[in-house]
Amino acid sequence: MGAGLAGLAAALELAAHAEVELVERLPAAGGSWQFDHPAVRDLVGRCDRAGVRLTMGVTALRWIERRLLLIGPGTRAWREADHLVFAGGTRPATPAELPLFGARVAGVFAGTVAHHLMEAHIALGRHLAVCGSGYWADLVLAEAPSHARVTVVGGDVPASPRVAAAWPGYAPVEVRGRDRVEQLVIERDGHARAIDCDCVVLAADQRPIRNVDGAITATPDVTYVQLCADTLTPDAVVDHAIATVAGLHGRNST
Amino acid sequence: MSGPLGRRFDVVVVGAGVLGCAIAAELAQTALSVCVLEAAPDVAEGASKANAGITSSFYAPPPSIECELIGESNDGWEELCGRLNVPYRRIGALTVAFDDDGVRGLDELETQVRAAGVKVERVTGEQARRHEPLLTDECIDALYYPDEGIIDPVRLTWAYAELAALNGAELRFRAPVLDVARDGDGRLSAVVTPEDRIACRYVVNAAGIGSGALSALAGGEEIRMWPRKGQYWILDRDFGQTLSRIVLPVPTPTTRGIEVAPTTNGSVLLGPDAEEGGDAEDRSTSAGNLRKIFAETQRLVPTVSLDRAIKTYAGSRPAADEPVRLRFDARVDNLIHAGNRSTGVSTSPAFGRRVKALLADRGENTAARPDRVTSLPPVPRVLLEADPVTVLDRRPGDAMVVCVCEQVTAAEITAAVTSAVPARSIEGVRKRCRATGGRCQGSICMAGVILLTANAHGIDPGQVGMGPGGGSVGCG
Ligand SMILES: Cc1cc2nc3c(=O)[nH]c(=O)nc-3n(C[C@H](O)[C@H](O)[C@H](O)COP(=O)(O)OP(=O)(O)OC[C@H]3O[C@@H](n4cnc5c(N)ncnc54)[C@H](O)[C@@H]3O)c2cc1C
Repeated sequence: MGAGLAGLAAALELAAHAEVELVERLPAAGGSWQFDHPAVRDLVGRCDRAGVRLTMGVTALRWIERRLLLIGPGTRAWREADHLVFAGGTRPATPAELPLFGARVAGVFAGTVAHHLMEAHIALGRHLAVCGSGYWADLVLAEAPSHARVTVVGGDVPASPRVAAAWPGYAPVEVRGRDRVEQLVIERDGHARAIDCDCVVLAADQRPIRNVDGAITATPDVTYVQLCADTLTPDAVVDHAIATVAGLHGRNST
Repeated sequence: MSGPLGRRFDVVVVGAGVLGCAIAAELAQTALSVCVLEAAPDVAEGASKANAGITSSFYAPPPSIECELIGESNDGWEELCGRLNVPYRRIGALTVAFDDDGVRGLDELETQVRAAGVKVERVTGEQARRHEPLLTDECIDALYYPDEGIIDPVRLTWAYAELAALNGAELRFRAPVLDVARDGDGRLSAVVTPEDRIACRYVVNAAGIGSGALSALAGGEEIRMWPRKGQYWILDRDFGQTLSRIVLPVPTPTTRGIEVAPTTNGSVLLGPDAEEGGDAEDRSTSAGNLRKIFAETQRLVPTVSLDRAIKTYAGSRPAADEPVRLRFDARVDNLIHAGNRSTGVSTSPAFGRRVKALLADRGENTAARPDRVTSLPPVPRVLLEADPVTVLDRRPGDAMVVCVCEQVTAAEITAAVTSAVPARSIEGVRKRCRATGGRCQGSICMAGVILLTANAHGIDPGQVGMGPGGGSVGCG
C-alpha cells in the first residue's frame, strides 16, 4: 500500500518471490517525490516488468483477517492477501502528538496543508512561525511569499534567506489568539517566550501516516516501510524499504 | 444573508445550539413561522459541540424537570436518529466504586435511579468487568445502566437544523440579537440584529450561556449564568474498538465526574473536568488540566494511553442556579426560556415537544402540517458500514475517499457543504461529516476540504472559515 519510493522499492523487491499488488490513493505513483522524479520513473518501469500489479486511484481503508478493503471510483473490493506492506508515507506531528495546547483558532496548519495552499497562492499570513526543519519546512520556506516574515522554531536553522528569526532548541507549547492565532508560546528548558505570528506551520517531528484500520499498530501480518527523518534522500528511502521487506518472503507462504 | 426587512415571524428562536435547533425543528412542522437567529457563523458552536454526546438515562433524581425530560426523550432515540441519519448507539454505562465510600455512593445513587423508574442493575466488580473487559481490577461494585447511549451531538444539532430549514424555518447566522423591542404592554414585539429588525409574536431564549444577557435585554427575569468549563482528550478509534461501555466514577454533587466514553465515530473521550467561572468564549486547553484528567481516567480503565491521543478540546456548560429552564418568563408574557446546563443533548427531543405544548396552551395552532418533512435523505457513511463495497457499488460515483483517517468520501463532504444548512468552514465540514477530524487532523485532506468548500460557495479558498470563531484560512 502506497506507491511512493518506499512502496515501489518494496514491491519490486518482493515481486521476485510473491504475487504483488501495489495500491495507491492518487492517480499516479511517486508520493511526495512526484511521478516525474527519475528514481520514481525507473522503479515504476521495473515494477511493471517484474509483474507488479499497479492499482491507482484507490484508497485502502481496512485490513481485517487478511483482507484489504479498497475503495475508489474504479475499484471497490475486499482484496485477499497474505501480508500487508504499509508504505503510507510520513507527515508532521499533530498538535496532540507534540503536544501543543491552547486556543483553537484559525491559522494553525500542518506543513503538508500549508505547502498545498501556498502552492495555490493562498496567503496564509504576514508573520509565519514554522515549527521544525526538514522536508515540509523547506517546502513551506520555498513557497513563503516575499513579504511574509518567517520565524523558525526548533529544528536546525535552515540556511535560507527567508528566515528572519530562529529559536533553535525551542518547542511550541501553546497557541494564543481569539479568532486567528496571535501568538505562539515556545519553550526550552522551562524558559517560555511568546512570539507574535498570524500563521503557525507545524512541520516538526515526522510521524508515519497510519490510516488503515487494523493496521494502525504493529501486527504480525503487517510490515511498515516508513522511514521517518527530517531529511531524506531517494537512496535512503529505497535502501530502507529493501532492507525492511528483505526477510518477508517465505513467511506466510501457503 | 439576511431576509427581507420587516418580515414577521410567529416565533423567533435565539440560539442555534442543540436546544434552539430541536425547538425550531418541532415548531417548523406546524403552521407557525419560525426564524432562528444565531450569533456564531454556524450551528452547534456553543456547548452543543463541546460535550460528550452521552444520551443519559438518568442524571437528576425525581421529582425534577430534568428527570422528566430525560424520561420523555430516552425511548425515542433509535427512531429519531434513524429518521434524521444521526449516529446513535445504546451501549450502556457503568458507574464504578473502588472503596467503601464509593459503595455508599452507589447505594444512594441506586435508590435515586430506581425512584426515577430507570433501568439499572447492581453488579459486582467481576460482573462489571464482563460488561466492560477493560475496566480496572480495582472496581469492587458498580451500577450498570443498559439504557445509556452515545450520539453524535453535532450531527444531531445539524439534523434538527436541516429539518427546521426543510420545513420552512429561516436560519440566520452571524446574527446576534443585540436588542429586543417591547410594545406598550411589555410584550416583546421584535428582536434586533446588526442587519435587521425582526417582528415576532414569541421569543424562545435558547441562547445557552448568553441566556442571562438575552433575558436582561428583554426585560425578563434575572438569570445568572456562568461558564463551567470542561476539557477532553480524544483517543484513536484503534483503541476505541476495544472499549464497549461508558465508564464513570461515582458522581459528585456538581458533575457526573471524569469519564471514559466511546463516541459514535469509534474514538474515545477522556473527560470532562469542571472549572467554574472564567471567560465563556475560552475554548483553550491546558496541559495541567489534561494531565489530571488522564490520571483519573487511567484509574477507571488502566489501558488508556496518550500514545493514542489524537486531539484535545474544551467547552463550557451553560451553568445557572436553575440548571434546567423550560417555561415562560415570570415577567415577560411571550418570552420562553429553554436552557439546560448538563443534559441538553439528552433532553433535546422533549424540549422541542414541550415548547410546542407551551404554545398550544396559549391557543396557538400547533397541529402538524400534513405536508411537513419528517426525515432527512440518507448519505451513506462509509465508516459506519460493515461492508462499504456493497453500499458503494450501488453508487460508484460516491466512492472517492477524501479523508482517509475518518473514511469520508467526497460525496459526504459535498452533502455537508450543499445541504439546507451548509458547512462554510473546515470546522463546519468536520462537524457534519468528520473529515479532517481523525488521527492525522487533516494533514492529508485539509487542502482538499478547503477547495470543495470554496467551490460549493463560489468563494476564494482563502475565505473559507477555519477556526470555531470567525477566522478564515487566508490572511494577509
Ligand atoms: C464539557 C461538557 C460535557 C457535556 N456532556 C453532555 C452529555 O454527555 N450529554 C448531554 O446531554 N449534555 C452534555 N452537556 C450539556 C450540553 O452540551 C448542553 O446542555 C447543551 O449543549 C445546551 O444546548 P443549548 O442549545 O442550550 O446551548 P448552546 O449549544 O451553547 O447554544 C446556545 C447558542 O446561542 C447563541 N447565542 C447566545 N446569545 C445569543 C444572542 N444574543 N443572539 C444570537 N445567538 C446567541 C450562542 O452563540 C450559541 O450558539 C455537556 C456540556 C459540556 C460543556
